[in-house]
Amino acid sequence: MNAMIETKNVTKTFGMNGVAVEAVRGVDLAVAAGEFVAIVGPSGSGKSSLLHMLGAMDQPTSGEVFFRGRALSGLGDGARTNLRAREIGFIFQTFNLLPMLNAFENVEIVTRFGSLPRAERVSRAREMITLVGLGQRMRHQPRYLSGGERQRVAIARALVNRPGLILADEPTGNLDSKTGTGILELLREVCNREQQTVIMVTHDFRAASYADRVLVLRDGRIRGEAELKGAADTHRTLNQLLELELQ
Amino acid sequence: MLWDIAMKHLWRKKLRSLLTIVGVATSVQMYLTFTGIMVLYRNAINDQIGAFAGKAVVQQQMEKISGSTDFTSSGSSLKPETADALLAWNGIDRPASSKMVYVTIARNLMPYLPPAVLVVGVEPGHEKAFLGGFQVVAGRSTLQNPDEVILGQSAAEYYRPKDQTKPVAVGDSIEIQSQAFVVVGILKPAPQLFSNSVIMPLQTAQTVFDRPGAVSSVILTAASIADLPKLKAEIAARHPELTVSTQEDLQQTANVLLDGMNKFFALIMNSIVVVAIVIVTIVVVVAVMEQRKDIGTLRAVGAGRWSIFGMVAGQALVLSLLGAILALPIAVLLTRWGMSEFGGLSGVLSVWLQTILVAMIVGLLASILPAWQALRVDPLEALRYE
Repeated sequence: MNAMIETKNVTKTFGMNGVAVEAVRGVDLAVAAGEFVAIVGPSGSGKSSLLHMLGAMDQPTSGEVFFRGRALSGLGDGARTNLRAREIGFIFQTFNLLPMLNAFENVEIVTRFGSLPRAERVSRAREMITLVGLGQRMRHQPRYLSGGERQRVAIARALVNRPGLILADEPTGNLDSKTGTGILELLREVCNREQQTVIMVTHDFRAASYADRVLVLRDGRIRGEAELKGAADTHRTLNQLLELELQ
Repeated sequence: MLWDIAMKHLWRKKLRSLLTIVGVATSVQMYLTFTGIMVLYRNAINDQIGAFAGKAVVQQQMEKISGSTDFTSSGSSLKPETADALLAWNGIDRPASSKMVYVTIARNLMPYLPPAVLVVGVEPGHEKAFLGGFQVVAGRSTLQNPDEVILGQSAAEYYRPKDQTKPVAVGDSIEIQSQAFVVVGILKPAPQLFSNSVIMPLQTAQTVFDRPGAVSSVILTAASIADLPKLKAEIAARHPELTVSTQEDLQQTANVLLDGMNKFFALIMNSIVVVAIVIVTIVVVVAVMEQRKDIGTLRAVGAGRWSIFGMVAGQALVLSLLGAILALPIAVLLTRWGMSEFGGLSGVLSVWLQTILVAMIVGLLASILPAWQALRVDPLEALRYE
């Protein structure tokens, strides 16, 4: 498989009050281009720490992360920043929109860090805002948008530079179930239409059901994995994974 | 690159931004004011000295006059026979030389400047000794009767009756030491020493102020300027108890005084600039603390460190520049009032440019600490705020 991103024996250890805490332990994973992968686990399982390393925001204590075959450990801060600008789109649980900018500006600003020519930035931002269904709300600041709408803006922001990879950290964590479903459906649609690679971290198995593949993370290790795409009985597969998580 | 975000941050906290701008404007204004005072002071002193070109002022040794910070030492006293001997010296232009007596009517608040109002007793017919080339704007520049006075412009304003709106004019009567005097001349605008003067006959001044025979100094005008150094040396040799000051001597003394004042004012002005820097630094540091999550988000989505630096520095610079711009109208008023003191239009423009430059320096220096703090914000900060 030509992996978009993969890890080899990645470990992350934090020092807390003199005590070493292994958040991630020897994780090997590979995500193919265009694949939608969900990483599921309870709180404290290490999924966010893993996501940070995949997104070049943090460095593993040991092991290696490869993006399009290129090791991230050798990259300096500037190169990792550049990578995040051009190749990785982030969707945060708390949306993390800039409050003083309106919806359109929140999407447009990211285009300044990417590789889009100046003339294309505005049209691309407008295209993404419209894609997520907020064409009529693009001049509204985040405080005038609902939670679901804010997350849609965040999705548009993540997509605008045509990144190779989307990383979503609990994208429905702050939303009600109905709104969350809408977001997940949008992510799924984006993945299908744009052939976008998506890695979503969540504690919700129901959210994970939208993915092509689910990985169960517990105590920093991958405990189980299942393909949902093409699965005969998705519910049963997920239930098996849930049992794995609870063991 | 992120200047629009910087401006939106400032706009979002309008009151804080406005107060900071006012603070910077006040600091810049104080800086300009002290610059203006320095310029005025320097020019005022140099103007007085300029009036003594070609002259020698002979008076009592300065160290024998205790506590005097007057420009013209009204405390000096020469023996009448010494004064007469000086006036009989070879090589002087007698009509342009005179015995003088000075009496301070009102003190100047600033040290080493002429009194606010000064009575100058001069020998009638020898007014030129004191006035030199200064002319009257009305009346005459000679005294013909004992009860006549010639006033400088500031002195004319000083003696303006309270119920009048205009200063005294030629023909008006003023009262000094309960005696009435007729104003026969008003000087043209002149340096302070002359503008503040009430010129009257020497004997009248001695009588009115109960100082019979008193001579404060003798002003000698050399018949030829080239002879002045020789004249000075001869007098100094013959009368070691006296001080003979030419324009050069006065300039040297003034330079020492001005040097000290420059250092004093520079200390004040530098302190003002430091205060302005501290004001802006505090405000931008607080702004960066408030913006940590936003900075973390921007870094997470690909903003480079220098973009963040520019965003923070931009806020500091804009606050400082707006403060300078706010200070400019007041600076215009100040410089218009003292425009001639600043050396005309080019001097005024120089002050404005100086203002902007100081503001930019304040902004840049004030941005260092908060920008450094902003550069240290980790992208993971964006993910830690719940």
